[in-house]
Amino acid sequence: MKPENNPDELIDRYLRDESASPSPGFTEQVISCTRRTSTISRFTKWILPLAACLAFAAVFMDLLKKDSSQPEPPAPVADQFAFDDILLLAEPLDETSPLLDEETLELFALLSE
Amino acid sequence: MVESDNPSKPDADGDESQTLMLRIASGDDVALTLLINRWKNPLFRFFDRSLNNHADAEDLTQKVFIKLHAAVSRYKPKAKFSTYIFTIARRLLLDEFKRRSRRPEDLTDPLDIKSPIVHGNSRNELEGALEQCLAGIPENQRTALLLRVQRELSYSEIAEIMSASQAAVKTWIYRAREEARKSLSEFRKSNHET
Repeated sequence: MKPENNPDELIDRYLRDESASPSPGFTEQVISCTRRTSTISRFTKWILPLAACLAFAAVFMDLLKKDSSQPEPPAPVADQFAFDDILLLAEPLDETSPLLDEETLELFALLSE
Repeated sequence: MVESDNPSKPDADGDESQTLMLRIASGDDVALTLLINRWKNPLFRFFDRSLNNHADAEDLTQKVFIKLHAAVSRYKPKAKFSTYIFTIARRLLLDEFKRRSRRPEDLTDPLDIKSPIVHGNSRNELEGALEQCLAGIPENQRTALLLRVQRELSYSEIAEIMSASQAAVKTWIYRAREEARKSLSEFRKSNHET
């Protein structure tokens, strides 16, 4: 059987695809691409640890600043807030005479006698 | 054709490529050029027959070299270089199929392609028939057959590349070849009738 009539020969010839090749300039294109990729990876190799160091330093400085500053006054407790509010409410009544009903006035009159 | 487990093509390229990889790791650009020139055609032909698309085949070939270059510092010459490089190639091919399945509007999937058959040229018609046959068979059968025929790799090497057993590889190659034979005989029959 001639090679061109042998089905396996034909199949293999088709599969080998020997005439096919990438476009001219492919090698140069790949080399420039690998260079670009390696530059980026080199950049990311040191920029990430550097960013982590800076973030750590910022947090550390913040902590140091807090430790060295004067102690803040203690936060007022809830009861203290309530007492202040009562005083505040009572203030406008200091100079006003209380409104008294007739029975109370009579009682005051008796007592004063 | 009986598939023997003794590939006739020696892998002399492989040993030299391992040396080139070590040179690339030490920053030798000439070695990188040599490695690309040595492997670009085998990789391109593998992708070209797998995808039926020159542009995508070139794109994936380029990606293999970029991956290879990125991993060069970690490279240890354990297996044959052809096994190493085609393992990368096959992974990229599977990624490409996954990407295409996520984007169904992309009609460049081999299964969607109906190659134009140029009438009056029996060579082109024959290639068209085989192209359609290859596009229609499952990926593992096609890849196994391509690695066997294009690179003349042994069953064990193909099994390693495809993370499968040798028995599975033999079955895939047998089935793929049977399909190719069938479509060839159908093509001849229809050609003879017309």
